[in-house]
Amino acid sequence: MLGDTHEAEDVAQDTFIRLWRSAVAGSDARQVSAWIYRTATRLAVDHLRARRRHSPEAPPDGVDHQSPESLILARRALGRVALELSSEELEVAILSRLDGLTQRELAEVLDKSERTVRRILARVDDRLDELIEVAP
Amino acid sequence: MKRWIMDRAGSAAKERHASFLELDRAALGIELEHGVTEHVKACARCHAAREAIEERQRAHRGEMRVPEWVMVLAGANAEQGGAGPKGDTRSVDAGGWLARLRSAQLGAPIGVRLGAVALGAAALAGSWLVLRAAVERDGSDARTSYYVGAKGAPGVGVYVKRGAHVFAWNGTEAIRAGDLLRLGVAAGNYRFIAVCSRSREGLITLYRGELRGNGELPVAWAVDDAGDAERLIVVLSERPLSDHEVRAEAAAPRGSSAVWSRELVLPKHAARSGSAGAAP
Repeated sequence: MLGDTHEAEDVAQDTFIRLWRSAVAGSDARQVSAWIYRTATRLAVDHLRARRRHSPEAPPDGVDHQSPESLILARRALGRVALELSSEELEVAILSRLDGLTQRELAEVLDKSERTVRRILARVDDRLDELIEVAP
Repeated sequence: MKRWIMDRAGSAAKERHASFLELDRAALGIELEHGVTEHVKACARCHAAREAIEERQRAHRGEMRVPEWVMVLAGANAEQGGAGPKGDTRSVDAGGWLARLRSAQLGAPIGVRLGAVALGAAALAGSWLVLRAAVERDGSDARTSYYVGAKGAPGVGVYVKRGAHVFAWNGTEAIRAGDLLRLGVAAGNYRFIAVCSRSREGLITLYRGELRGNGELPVAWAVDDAGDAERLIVVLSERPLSDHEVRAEAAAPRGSSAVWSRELVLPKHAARSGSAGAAP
């Protein structure tokens, strides 16, 4: 997502500091794992947007187990439009398009209703349609 | 080679696989939603992904240490009567929340995942800088050489996708029919790129365009089984070149500072004799 080891470590550390301080720590494992996803993604979004404000370059890409080529393109595309999306939209785009979360999982992680998630996803799709140039 | 146009970025997968969240949960032994467990067992891709996560966990198990800052926070929380869970102390072995966190390896999946992606990217980027496989053209003879390029100097890296596996070409490994090739370019001050393929039929321009983002081209090419190697000529320029100019540069580099070119020769696994479209 970030393409930078040090930034990824910062995000991981910050996530666990927040986990430590949060009330979710004693909850069941499903809830904790969803919380970690939500918090780590939000922190990564903050890093990504802050970085985009300072540099026009897209973040380096990583390689992942799910259709690496499409993920590479998705990362590039999201990197390009990071500042054009709201934090909420970018968060949903990352979780759904890079992490492959279903609408139900998104609702769980984001602590929103599935209806709200569908609405955000539709908005994200519209925004990406406007913003992403289809590869030649 | 035939051009292989990528799917739209982020387009919905044709087949729904388990998300990273579910794969992480599976690796942690957390009960999954109905149907997901069966899918992960039955799906080779998801199963392999889960095994990869578990393998990383095993590899890091002996190294799992609670960092100093956690201990400091634990102490601060204890002194403040803090936000940490009840009964937490500095002791990791006290059976408290931190111990559960440690034993559940919650740190590993997300941390390793983020780190692995970043490290993967760093490794790929590093491969461009340190180990560039190039062909120095010397008259009509081509020889493969490796060199360490200066930072900022142009360079070309090749990603090979073989099945679900993507790796950076090491400059010597033979590619196979069916592999997908994608170029990543460190272009320095050059803004435009063209890629040609040299074959018995002559030069074919595969791609021309402006470099954007991180220098990865938005197209990939599928390797066929014709010939003993794929010969790609990468031409970088300060201004957009016509197809004629690209071919002229590819055929006979002028050595101008306004244009940079490099020929990559990727050997192929020998195709089966007499076969057409043979798979590896």
